[in-house]
Amino acid sequence: MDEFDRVPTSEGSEFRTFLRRTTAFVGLATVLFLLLNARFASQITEIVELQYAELFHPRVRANVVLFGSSHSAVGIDPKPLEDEQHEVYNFSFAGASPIFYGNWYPYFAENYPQPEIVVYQVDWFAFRDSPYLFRQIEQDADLLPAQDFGQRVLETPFDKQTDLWINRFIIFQHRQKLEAVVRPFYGSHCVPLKKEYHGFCPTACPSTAPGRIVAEKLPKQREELINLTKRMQESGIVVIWVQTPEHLKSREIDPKYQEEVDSLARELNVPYLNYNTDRVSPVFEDVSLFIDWAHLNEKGAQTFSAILAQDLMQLPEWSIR
Amino acid sequence: MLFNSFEFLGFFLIVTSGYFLVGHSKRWALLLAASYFFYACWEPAYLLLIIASTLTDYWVGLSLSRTDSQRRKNGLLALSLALNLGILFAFKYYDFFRESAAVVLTAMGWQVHFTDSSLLLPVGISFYTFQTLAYTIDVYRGRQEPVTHLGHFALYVTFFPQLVAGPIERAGSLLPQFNRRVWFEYERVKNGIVLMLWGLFKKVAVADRLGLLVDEVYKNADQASGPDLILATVAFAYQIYCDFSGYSDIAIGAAAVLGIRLMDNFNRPYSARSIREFWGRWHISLSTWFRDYVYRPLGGNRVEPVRWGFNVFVVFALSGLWHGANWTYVIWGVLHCVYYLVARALGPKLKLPSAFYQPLTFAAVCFSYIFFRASTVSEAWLVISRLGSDWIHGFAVVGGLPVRFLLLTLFTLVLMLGLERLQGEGPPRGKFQGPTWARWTIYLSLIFSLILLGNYDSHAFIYFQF
Repeated sequence: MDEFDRVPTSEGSEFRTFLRRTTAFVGLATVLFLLLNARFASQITEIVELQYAELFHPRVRANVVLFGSSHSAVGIDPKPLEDEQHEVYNFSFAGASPIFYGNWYPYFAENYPQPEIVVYQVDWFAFRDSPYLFRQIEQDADLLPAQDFGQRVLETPFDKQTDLWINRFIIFQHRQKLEAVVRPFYGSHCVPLKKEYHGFCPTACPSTAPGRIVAEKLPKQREELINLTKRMQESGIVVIWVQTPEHLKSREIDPKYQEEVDSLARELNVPYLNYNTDRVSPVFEDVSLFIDWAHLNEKGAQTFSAILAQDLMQLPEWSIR
Repeated sequence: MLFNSFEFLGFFLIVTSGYFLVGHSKRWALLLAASYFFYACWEPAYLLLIIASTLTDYWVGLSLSRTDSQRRKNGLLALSLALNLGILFAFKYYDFFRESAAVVLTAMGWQVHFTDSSLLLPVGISFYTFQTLAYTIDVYRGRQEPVTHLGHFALYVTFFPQLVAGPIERAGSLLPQFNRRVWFEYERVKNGIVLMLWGLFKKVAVADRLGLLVDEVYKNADQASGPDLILATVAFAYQIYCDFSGYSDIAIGAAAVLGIRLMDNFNRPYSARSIREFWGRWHISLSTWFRDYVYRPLGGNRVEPVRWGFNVFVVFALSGLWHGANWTYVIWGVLHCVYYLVARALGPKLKLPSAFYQPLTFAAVCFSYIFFRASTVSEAWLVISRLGSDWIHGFAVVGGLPVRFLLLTLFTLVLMLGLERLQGEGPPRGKFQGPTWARWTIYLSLIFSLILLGNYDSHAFIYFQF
């Protein structure tokens, strides 16, 4: 007779035994999990944590903020843009798309002092279903305060709840940095975080994004950027669009992609500084300024930020009223 | 709804709680509703196919028992075969035969145009079709009493743990269990849960990690060196084993929690010392199905040697075709047939040291996996043609992967093999012996391996496509 044929003397006592032992085991597993998670949390510090800390507990209280993807996250250093009138903070995130910002902006509007100017870095593939703009608000679940996380849980559709809960625990997000359990990991993209300035930290590691694959149009990206831009404009914020320079070869793209962004900038009457079309500089033919096809390295970011600062100063919209 | 998802975890908790809360007489209804819901999560429209198959075979089963006319019995069996195999052909094989026929006819100078079916392959169609066919054939042969309870029969066809990827159960084994009273029995429930955990570990922490390595090499087969391709093919052997046996373990474990015993589907296949033994250990429910419903009706081995060779060929070719509508699977099956026949012919004459048989069998199985893994026959030839090339460069593709990733993948594989050994002889059933602290350490190792080393980007089980 095996376990399938055995008739228990009391089904109730079998169930109570199961409940008792399962509770003990799950309890032990949960304690170990939380301890390991806490260890990860204490050992790992990344740039995005500092950005979210500034978002929910403003310290810099910048009047100019930068939004954008990894191109501006590692490519625009706020320092050269600053002067007596402009205090700049970089709220760009790797993989952040207009859809991401559509979900993220309410947190910004609620928690951060309203800035005078928003410089939004727009990628030429921003309105496409590309593999580069992967970030979703659920991935930042561990960075949301408990109350906002709870609210997010209530608002999130059932099929995205798993992502939200998994990302609440740093152990899942950073499990590939397992060695951090014994050796602290401070940094972002291979560069120590001590180089961080107002949300910007240069990078030295190539992105893992595949080559220049551009997929079908994703109209929601365009709609979200329109909504976001209009929302900011209506609340009195000056919006300026920027496209960071890419390596010469990667600029050999179909002009229709650039035109998608150019035409929208004209439609929304937004000043648009595009360093891959009308503002191409021979400076960025130098490969040593890039870490890969599209991302500037530390030297490249310094060079570009200085050029951007000069160009922004030429814009009447850059003046603080 | 995949077994390796939180959705399934929630679904299973709800179904299991409900199962032990409702009375025994209503449990079949709960399981049937849960099974239909489980299948509808993929494609609700395809439930109609299952229902059509269920109603037809239920009616055929009853009708077979109510007639003494052999002619009518033959007609009823033909109806069941035509409907079930017709659906299978339309959804799985039509495009394959259309393309193959077009190639042949074009080569003969005929211009023909076949309509493209473009139908989405229903998940698990090969599994439930074979299960219902087994019932009808058994009733036709008088080896199985027809089921009068439509609900029980519908549950036999759709029982959710084994609906989409087996094991392919027999009516004589599964149906009586729906009548039996099931108790909440601590040991059975615990062992079922541990087996589910074990299967999940094999799938997420071992198979899906190995899959990253295999994909990288096969994707770059034209640049890969011989050592790359050999390593990737051996890795694929363990990937597919852990993937498919992992699914079977979760299915068997989930059914055990509900008090239903499913048949073992894998029994350490790579320890086999011959191809014959391999097929007694690999996908046991399918190989015994072919044995009982194809090989033996063809005459088995009680025929002339040439006819016997033909019977073996038919079984292996059909087995290959069952796995997929692609010539690569057919060649894979035929290759196993060749192994089988050659071993049978040379076996008594070849006297190799006993230590050679197991590695030789494993190498032969791995070689056949090249066809199983490749997308096309030409890709398989490319891999084979490069097996001997670039040995001087070592691991040209694998060497480019992070060392950390390779070490952790190796770690999960070694952990899996070690824990499999700990489960003693016979098919691993997730039963670990020893004091509580030792068993709990093993369970915690499995859980934390899943959390820290699992690959969450690759989800679907390979055998879902079959």
